[in-house]
Amino acid sequence: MNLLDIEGVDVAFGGLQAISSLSFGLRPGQIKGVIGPNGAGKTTLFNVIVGVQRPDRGDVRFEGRSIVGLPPHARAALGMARTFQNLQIFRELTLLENVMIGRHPRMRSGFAATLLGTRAVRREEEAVERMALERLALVGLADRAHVSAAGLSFGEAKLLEVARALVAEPKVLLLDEPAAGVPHGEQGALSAIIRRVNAAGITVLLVEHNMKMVMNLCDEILVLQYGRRLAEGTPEAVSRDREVIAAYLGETMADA
Amino acid sequence: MNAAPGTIGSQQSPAPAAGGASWLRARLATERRRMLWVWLVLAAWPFVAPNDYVLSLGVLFFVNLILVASLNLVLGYAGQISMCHGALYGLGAYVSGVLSVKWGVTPALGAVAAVVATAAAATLIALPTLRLRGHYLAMGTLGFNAILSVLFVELVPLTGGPNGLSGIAPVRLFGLELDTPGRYYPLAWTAGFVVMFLILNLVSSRTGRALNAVAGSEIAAGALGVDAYRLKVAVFACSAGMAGLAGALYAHFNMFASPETFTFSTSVLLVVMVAIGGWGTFWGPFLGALLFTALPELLRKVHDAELLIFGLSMVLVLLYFQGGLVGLLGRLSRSVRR
Repeated sequence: MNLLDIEGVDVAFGGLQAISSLSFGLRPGQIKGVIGPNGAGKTTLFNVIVGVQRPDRGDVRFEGRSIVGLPPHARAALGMARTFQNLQIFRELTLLENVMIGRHPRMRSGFAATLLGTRAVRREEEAVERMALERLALVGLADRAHVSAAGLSFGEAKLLEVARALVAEPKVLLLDEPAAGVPHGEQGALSAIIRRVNAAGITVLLVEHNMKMVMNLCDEILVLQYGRRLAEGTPEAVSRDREVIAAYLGETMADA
Repeated sequence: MNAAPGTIGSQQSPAPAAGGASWLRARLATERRRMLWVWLVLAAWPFVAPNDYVLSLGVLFFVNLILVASLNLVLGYAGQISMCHGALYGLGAYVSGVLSVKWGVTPALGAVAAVVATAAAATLIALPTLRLRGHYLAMGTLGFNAILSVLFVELVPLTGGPNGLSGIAPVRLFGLELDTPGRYYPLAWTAGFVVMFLILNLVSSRTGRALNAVAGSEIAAGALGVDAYRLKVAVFACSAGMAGLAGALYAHFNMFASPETFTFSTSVLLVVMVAIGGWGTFWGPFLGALLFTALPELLRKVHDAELLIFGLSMVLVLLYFQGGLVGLLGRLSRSVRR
């Protein structure tokens, strides 16, 4: 069974058809890439998956169950975690606290219990603190755990978002253009971390503009154009696809 | 504390205690110790206050502290604007006061009723208004404040109307009537401590981080699994309950309640005090409440200019030190150490 299924999804903004009857699946354990030129519908598709955008038609299923009516926070509780294209970190908090927020859907302490500061709350807090430190170490930011997130570079902040997504121990990690804005020299480290995350058993969906990164990382690629599926397959197959070359790869590959 | 850029996997964390000890627990413990010291110092007030009137200002300080700190939860931590904390304060005072005067209910039970009633009223406002994104809570609470202000004055058979409600029973504890500022002070001191202790727990936990996330970005909070709507309703109800407690505490101390105490301008002044003290900081409300209690006394000679001065200081804070007094003190202490 697929982890995530998109079935016949349509999204229109006024007269603009952003996504037209799109279907695809995400198998457990894979790294799947979604590419396409600007305006191909990548961001809209991402928003449909995380629950920010409701499709006009079609279904989104997670582990076989329709989640199309669920708000983002409920999807997070099911085991979906994401990063943001334009950062969403909490600058006034420390790196450690930023990452700890990511564990929210898996924590049990309720409002009243945290008000009273019960023993169970303290125990859970300490366990989550340790987990968050581990994830910070994974992305190489552990030595700054107690520093405010305001001082991070763009690339570091993206890594912080990855750590924050991972601490929830998600079933699928959804990455919205993780390489965008990251200096070229830091992109290798980012790819290495994504590979390591996947090796630990987490399925990854990578919506990305950066062709090289997608080709290197993904075992399967979906190419979008004008909100439709243009091609889908292994990086080799996709890069040989005549239509893809004509529509998108040709120019990019020639540039590269 | 700026460390060199980290290499992957490096673990030289500057945690205060070694051996896997919790950094956050250490920070909470530090804050609790600081609270204990401050409350020990505050315990001396009855011995240094020159007369009962000045001593009574100490009692009012704790009432104001609970009010400002409860509003700070909503305004500072959750980033939601409430314009009715003055009315919630009044609702607490009248619920406990009316129960005492009309039905002889004891202050302890009255205070419980005040907390429950204000929390319930707040939930009723919050459920529809917080569902919408934007300033609907501010609008809803504005209307609620107007309604309650009218009710305090017009429900004459219950509240005594514009003349106020007199004959509210004093608190009786261990057979002793707490009918003087000196006797009441320990009760207010304890109530202030308990409320601040609970707030400290809340803000240094999962809930506190979630509140921070909601204030920062509701979209990010949602993606991280925070049910922003539920959390906002819960924190508003909790905050209202605390304001209700402040009301009951005030009513049984003053043994009289007047609608003038709980007008819309009280609500506005409370917002100003949260801002001047420092939004979203634990100690900000402490300084805000100190100012809220002391300034009217210091400005007695220029009474009419009071609102003007408060308004001006709010503008100054918003323009020049958005961290409020707490942020200002922090900056001063850092530059002194340097």
